[in-house]
Amino acid sequence: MTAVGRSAGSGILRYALRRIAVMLVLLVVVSLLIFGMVEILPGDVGNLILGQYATEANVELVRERLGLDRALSTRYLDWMGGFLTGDWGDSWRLGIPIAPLIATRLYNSMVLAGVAFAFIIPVSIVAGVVSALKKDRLTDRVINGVSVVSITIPEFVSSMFLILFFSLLLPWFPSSAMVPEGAGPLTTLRYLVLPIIAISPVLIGYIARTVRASMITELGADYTRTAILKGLGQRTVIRRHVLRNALLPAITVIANQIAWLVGGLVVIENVFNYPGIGQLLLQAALVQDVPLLEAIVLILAAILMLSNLAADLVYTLLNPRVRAQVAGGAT
Amino acid sequence: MARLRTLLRSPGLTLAVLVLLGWLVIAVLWPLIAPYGPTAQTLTSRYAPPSAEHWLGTDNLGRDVLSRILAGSRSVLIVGIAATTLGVAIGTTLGLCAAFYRGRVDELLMRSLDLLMAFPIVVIASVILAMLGPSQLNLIVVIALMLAPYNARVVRSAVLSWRDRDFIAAARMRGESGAYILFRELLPNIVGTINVEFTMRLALSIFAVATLSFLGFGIQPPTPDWGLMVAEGRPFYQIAPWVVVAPAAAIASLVVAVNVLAQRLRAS
Repeated sequence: MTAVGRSAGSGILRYALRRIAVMLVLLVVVSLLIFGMVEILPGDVGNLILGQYATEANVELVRERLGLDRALSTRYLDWMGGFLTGDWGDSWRLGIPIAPLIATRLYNSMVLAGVAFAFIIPVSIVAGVVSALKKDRLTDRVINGVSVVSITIPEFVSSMFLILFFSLLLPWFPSSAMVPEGAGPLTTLRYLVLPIIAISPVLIGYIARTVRASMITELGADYTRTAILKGLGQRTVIRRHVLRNALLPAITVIANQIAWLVGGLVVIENVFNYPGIGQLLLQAALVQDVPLLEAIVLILAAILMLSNLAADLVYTLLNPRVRAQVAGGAT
Repeated sequence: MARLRTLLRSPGLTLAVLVLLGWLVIAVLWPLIAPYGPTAQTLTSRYAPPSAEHWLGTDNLGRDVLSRILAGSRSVLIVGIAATTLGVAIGTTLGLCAAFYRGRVDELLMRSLDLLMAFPIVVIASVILAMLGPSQLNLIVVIALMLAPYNARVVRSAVLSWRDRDFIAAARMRGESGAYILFRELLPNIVGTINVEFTMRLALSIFAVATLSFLGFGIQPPTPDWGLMVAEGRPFYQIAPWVVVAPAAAIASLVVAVNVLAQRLRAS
């Protein structure tokens, strides 16, 4: 037993390193896929930039300047090399360097996502716990009904209704999330209220349902009955015993929801004119700005994989059963 | 029949079925019902609020919103149903193969599907549609590909409990081909699962169609389409909110109806 205890730390480290290695391989695969898709692009890039009435010579010139006349493998290696050293090239349409543009937009999106999660996580945990404790009673049914209906309505539809009610009918919040230059935190928050309410229902619904299900399992577990029979009060049992175990699965779900959040951001940022990475992605896609699109998708892929990895590692560290398994080399 | 009657005893479900049937009928018969042509412009009555003449008002080009809503039901239902059918067909085939052959095939299929599912649908769809160009057919294919992994997973786990039964072993010993066993022996046993899956995926599909049309990847103007109508009405919602409200409410009614139906089918 002591041997397991001593090797536990290095076991988790080895597990983490292996996961990071797998992630890097997957990222290379994703980058190849993204790069390969450009080749499917119908039409000539020179024409795409110069318009369809451009002369042959000018189109050739553009292709040459963009380096598109070189071999595919050379271009891929060049692109990846630049990517790794921070030189992400220029946007075809905007003519400005991609890296700083993405950095600004990503920062904006992270502000929005961060505030959203700060609202979503506590609300969904409380909703899940409450509906588990009131299982099958009215509160549970209402929470369940609201979450089913709100999950099903597309974000852009609920956003439009929010704008109509809370911006047009009742002029409480701005309909655009374009925060003015130099606004204080409170003003910023006021601009972000509607987008956050619009993006929350799906995420709250999923997290709350997971918390509810695991709460119900843990409430029926033997150790819970033991604790109650020991004479502990209901509050103590729930806080000290049930919640600790019931919230573990929520970590994995929250990490999985980051993918949903990113998808939601694409829509929400466009409805509310928020200058984030989602809006940039759509603009790049609609005008076929290939280098910009490639860079955004690769960055998003890396972020999604990293957050899933982080969630798995936190889960492993917090869950004694999984921790022992990983340290024992079972996984 | 008896089952249908018990199902219909729930008022919520009855309403959902009525809404869905209503939109299906409208999608087929709208040319007979619509009071105006969906693309007919009357520039003298732009931004007209709802009235006896135009029940849901008119838009920035003086087009009748009600007629556009009625006509727009067709594209969302065609794309939604076609994408779901294609997606469930692909997903079911992949799920059947993964569960039946197990081993490397299973591992490879499931891991690639996991990778696909790790990405937000909107992001992949934006990239693919940016490359292929926006069109109804491309939209169908992209949404089908996005739905297939979810379907494949469910079908795979449903098939796993059947693949080791005696009748499968018997079919193998008779020397039946893999395809025969997959589609003639295994598939009939999971028809119930696939029906539920179809309704669930239809809800997701309509969600995706509406969202991608709203973002500009679906049908192009001036063809009426609900998602597109919301996007087109967004710039002037302050002077003519009805142009946005009507398509938004139409989308909401359809997705909620399909979802209620899917939830109920799954529970029964």
